[in-house]
Amino acid sequence: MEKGRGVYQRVEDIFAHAAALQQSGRLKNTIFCIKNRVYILNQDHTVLLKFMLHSKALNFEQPVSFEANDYDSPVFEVKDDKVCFIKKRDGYKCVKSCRTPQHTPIKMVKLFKSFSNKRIEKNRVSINSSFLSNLDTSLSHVEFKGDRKGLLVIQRNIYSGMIITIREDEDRKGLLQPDRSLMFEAVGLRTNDFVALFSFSNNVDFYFANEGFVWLRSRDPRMLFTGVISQCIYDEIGKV
Amino acid sequence: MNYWELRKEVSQIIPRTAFLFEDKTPEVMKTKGRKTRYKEFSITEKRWYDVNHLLNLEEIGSFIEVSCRAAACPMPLNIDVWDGMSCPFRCKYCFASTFKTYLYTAFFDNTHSMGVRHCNPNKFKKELDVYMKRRGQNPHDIKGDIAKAIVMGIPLHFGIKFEDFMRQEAKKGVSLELMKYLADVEYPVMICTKSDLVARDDYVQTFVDNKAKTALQMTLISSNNELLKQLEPGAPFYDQRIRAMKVLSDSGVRVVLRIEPYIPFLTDQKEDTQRLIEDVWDAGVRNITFDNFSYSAKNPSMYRVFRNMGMDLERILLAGCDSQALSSLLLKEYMQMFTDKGFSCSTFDMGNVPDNSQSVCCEVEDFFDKAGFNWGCSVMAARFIKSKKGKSVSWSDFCAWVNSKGGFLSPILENEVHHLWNCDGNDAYSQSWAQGMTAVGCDENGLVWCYDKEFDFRDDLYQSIRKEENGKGKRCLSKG
Repeated sequence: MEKGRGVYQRVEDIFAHAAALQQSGRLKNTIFCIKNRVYILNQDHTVLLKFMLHSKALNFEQPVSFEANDYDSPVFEVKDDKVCFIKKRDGYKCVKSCRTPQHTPIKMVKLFKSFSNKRIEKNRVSINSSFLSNLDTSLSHVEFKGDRKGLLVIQRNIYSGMIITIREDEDRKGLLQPDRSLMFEAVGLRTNDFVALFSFSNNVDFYFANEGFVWLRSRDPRMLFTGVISQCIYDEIGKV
Repeated sequence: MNYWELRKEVSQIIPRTAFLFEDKTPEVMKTKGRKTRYKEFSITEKRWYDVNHLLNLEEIGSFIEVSCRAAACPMPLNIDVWDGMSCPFRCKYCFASTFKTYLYTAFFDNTHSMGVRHCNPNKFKKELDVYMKRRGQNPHDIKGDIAKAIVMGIPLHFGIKFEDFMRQEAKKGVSLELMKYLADVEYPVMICTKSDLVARDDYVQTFVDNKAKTALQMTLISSNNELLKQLEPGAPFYDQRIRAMKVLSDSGVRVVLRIEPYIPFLTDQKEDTQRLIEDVWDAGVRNITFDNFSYSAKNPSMYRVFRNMGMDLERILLAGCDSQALSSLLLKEYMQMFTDKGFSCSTFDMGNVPDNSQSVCCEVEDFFDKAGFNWGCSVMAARFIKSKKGKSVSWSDFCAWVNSKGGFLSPILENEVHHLWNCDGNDAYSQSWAQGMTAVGCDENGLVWCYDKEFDFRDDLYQSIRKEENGKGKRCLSKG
């Protein structure tokens, strides 16, 4: 990003969605921009998304990172290790100066690459945002499992004993689960992490074939991204 | 089903998050920002004034109180000898440090230079003298909860909010001086600590000299020294605490092992637990008190601290306290392993209170001859209802029983306990959460309860969500 230059609408949308997620209490995010890529990492380090910007005109020559909630204006610059968001309105110039986050864009590039290199794009499940209406978003986890009947999604309410089970309707078969051979052990995802993805895209493909993480890919042409989301594992270990 | 089977099944219900990468983020205690060098201009005097709110960094102003948990707690008379922004033992799971840091920095301007401070022994002796003179009077004639608690002889509880036996105490002996005073006036004492200083000769002698008796709870949540170093980096090592327990129990002091917080999937490894059971038994300890992680630990600072250690606090809290049913069930089976060895075991976890070995969950009911307890609380209500063996129990029945033992500590507290009786107020502390509690009717004072041995909402909930049953378990009952 050249100094003080406004970013395009799509990038602004990414930033705005990331900020909105924090304000809604669902995810607290940090944004990292480098060259023609934008990375979003949540504070708990359970979601990492990479957005590719195709326009050649849009290039963050100088890597920049900031907390999503600090985002205040499409015009910003880096000055003395601080990110300054600049707003001009009614004859006034307002500069909001914010600390830069602990991690750097270069670290995010390496981190993302480490997942990308070992990803296996198998056990694909395509999920549309309408699926969310089946979930109880107040519950901490949502569990995915591939069995002989296809995809099984389960939520357990550990306060009341209620269980939600979701399977693809016979009439729709094949939409949710395009891969025929869908057999995988139960994988938990944090409900907040899962739901948050659909703030960026209405259609997301999940690949349940990787150890420790789920690879994902947006299918929304207006908001293309790839990413990883932490798996929640059903073991008896207290440490990560 | 034993503990290990249950633990495995709970692990199939509540998963562990595999974070994308290990990271050490700064563990900055949340502090409230205050302006520095702040001045205000007086228009009348036409000059600037420094506006500072200063905390007395040397001395604690007040030191004795009835706990805010008195509506549930049988021993709520607390005494604060030492205090500070952060305790030198630096236990990672201690939410008191978080709260103190936030509160002190919110109201005072000089807390950056704060170390530890203590109460003034001369002042507190005078204050206690006033209370002690009233002992022997009829509790029903006493007004004021502290005065009444002392007249009833409720043991003074050291070390609830801060460690009272750390390195500074070894030099200054403030707690020791207070102990000596209480030994002189023959008042029962209860100590909660992680320090091995309590096994020093002069301390042991003072405990023994108290004819009203001294009991001591030694907190030790695991036998895994490496884990303890991570979780309690400033506290004495495992072996030091075991040795201290042996010295004290050999001297006739009631030593209660305190496993609080019990942290599922972390401090409950099989070999560690087995070793803890054996070592504590060999140290002569026969009583244990347990409790789950507190809800108060649910704050962002604590999550960060645990993540820095590579631990998933979310899972620990979901299994260890958030789901009252699952956490209580886990604790029940965990306690059972200690009970099987021959220990007398009790807990403040309401779900398990009916099965406690003693009515006083601190495990000292049988130890103090001259002590009284806070009978008018919800833990005692659960025990009272169970003691009636399935008969209906009304609020009036409970009140009559409490009054026969000295009454409620105050009208406000009576009102609070009455709310809990009827599942109002902060109902996490209501006896309704206890295993077997069944509301069987209503009268002019609200709910009428009875104890049904067969009814356990925890088991019902667990059966309904366990994986093996695939949700086809028994009926599903939720509280509330």
